[in-house]
Amino acid sequence: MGFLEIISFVFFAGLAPAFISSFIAIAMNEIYGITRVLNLAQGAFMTISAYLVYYFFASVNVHIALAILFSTIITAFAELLFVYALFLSGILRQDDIKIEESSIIITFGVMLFIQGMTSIIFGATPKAIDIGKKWSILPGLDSIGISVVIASLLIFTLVNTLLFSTKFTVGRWVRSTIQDKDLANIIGINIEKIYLLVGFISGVITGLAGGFYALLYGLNPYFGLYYTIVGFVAMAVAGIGNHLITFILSFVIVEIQSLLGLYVTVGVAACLIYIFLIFLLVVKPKGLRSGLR
Amino acid sequence: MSSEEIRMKMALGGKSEMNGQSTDDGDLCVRNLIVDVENVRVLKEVSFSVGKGKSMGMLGPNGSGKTTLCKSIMGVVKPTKGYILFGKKEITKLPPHERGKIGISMVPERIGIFPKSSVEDNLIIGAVSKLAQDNVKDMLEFIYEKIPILKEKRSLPAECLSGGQRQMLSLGRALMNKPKLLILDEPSQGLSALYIKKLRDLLQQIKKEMSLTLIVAEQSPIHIKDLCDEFLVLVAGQVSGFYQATDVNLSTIWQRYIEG
Repeated sequence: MGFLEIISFVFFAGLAPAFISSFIAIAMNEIYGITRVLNLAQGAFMTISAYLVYYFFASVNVHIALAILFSTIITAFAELLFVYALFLSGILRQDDIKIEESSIIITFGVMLFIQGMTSIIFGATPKAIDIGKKWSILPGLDSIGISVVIASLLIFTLVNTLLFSTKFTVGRWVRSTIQDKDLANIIGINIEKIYLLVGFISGVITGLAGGFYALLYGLNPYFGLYYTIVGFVAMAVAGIGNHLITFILSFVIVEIQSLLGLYVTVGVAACLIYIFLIFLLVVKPKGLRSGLR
Repeated sequence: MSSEEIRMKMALGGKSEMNGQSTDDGDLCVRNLIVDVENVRVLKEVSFSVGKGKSMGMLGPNGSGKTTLCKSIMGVVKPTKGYILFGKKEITKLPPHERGKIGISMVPERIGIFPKSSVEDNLIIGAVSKLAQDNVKDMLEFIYEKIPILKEKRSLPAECLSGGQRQMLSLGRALMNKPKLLILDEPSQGLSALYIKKLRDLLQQIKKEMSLTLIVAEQSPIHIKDLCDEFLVLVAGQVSGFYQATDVNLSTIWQRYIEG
């Protein structure tokens, strides 16, 4: 196998996780932009979805497409409930900085809770969907094919998010709430509804990511953490509300990590990338673009 | 019932009388309003009323509670005690988005716009009531006719506008909601004389055309003397006096500020 072939193989193999990490990064950006909640449990919500797909498909014998649909809906409602609980508790009515501080502690706890519950319910040993059964349902699709499907869906999601935020009144309200929630409240926008809507959208995106992950890889209760870290870094560097740059960055992080993995260990590759990103944040503390705020 | 009669009745009456009085759609009655912010009493038993289509200037020095009163009427600040009636409805406990739906809009102080959204999006965002949402296109045309500069810059991000243009945009956004009651919190703050005049002329024009009830908070009556029918003076969170437009002059108001 020549050098270019190896590179292209690694690149294509990295497509699926890169797209999945982009989903999570966008979901985190949505939630953070509106509520200022740094959701360290975003990857854990993805874990819920992935295990639900596994459960529906492997245990209940539901069609894989329906399994992804059901798990996405359940995850969306779980995240909506999570945001609603934060709202009811009064945390979201605090100053932005206080929200950030308390959300780190709360979402870290939620992440540990979800990981623990997943371990108890499904066991800590890795689980995987039966590959033969999976391919028989998606004939002609290998992992590259799945990546293309995921990419198409992600681009569809991105375009729709963009259209939603620019062409529909509710989308404009979301954009304005991201920019200044106090002003949005003063002019009569229903902030509570916006929070719930964004919680639901974020849950849908996370649910899809978990579903796709379950299609491609083995599951363990802790796999979501990696995607949370990538998502968080991409969001911080890209700037709040910049879906496109968040998407590109998280994609690039995962792809470069895959490519560097040819020469150094995965851990060293991750370190090199994060050192570079920290450097970027030192140079441009507000991120590559200032975002909507 | 005139606003003066309502005011007199409010000054004399209790809660039952307030609930019994027949206010018209667009009338605003505030009675015995007490507001505490972080354990500090900012408003102390404030009572006043404004009749439909009338405009009231709310005058007061810095820290007198003007902004808190405006925010209380809009529902952003929750009163500790007291009542607010709008038309025939008690709105004391309604959240801001519910007040927006029944036709109350506010132009906040320090030029509140959404800088990253386009000028047109800033305007559309303001249509929060069902009525306004059904008439977005007509209202946009109306606003563009009244404030042509916004039409010229409709597709630019709002952050590209000058200070005066931003204030016009903020006003335009509030008008997009087809309000019955419009509250302006120190609209002339930081504006040039030219834009203050533009703003005042526009408000005078719109007030007539839309039968708007107006509340304009300012530190000085200079810019709004011709705009308002009556004036309320607020000092240290209390109503210090009421004046008809013909009776108000700068020295009297300053005297009120000093005496409290």
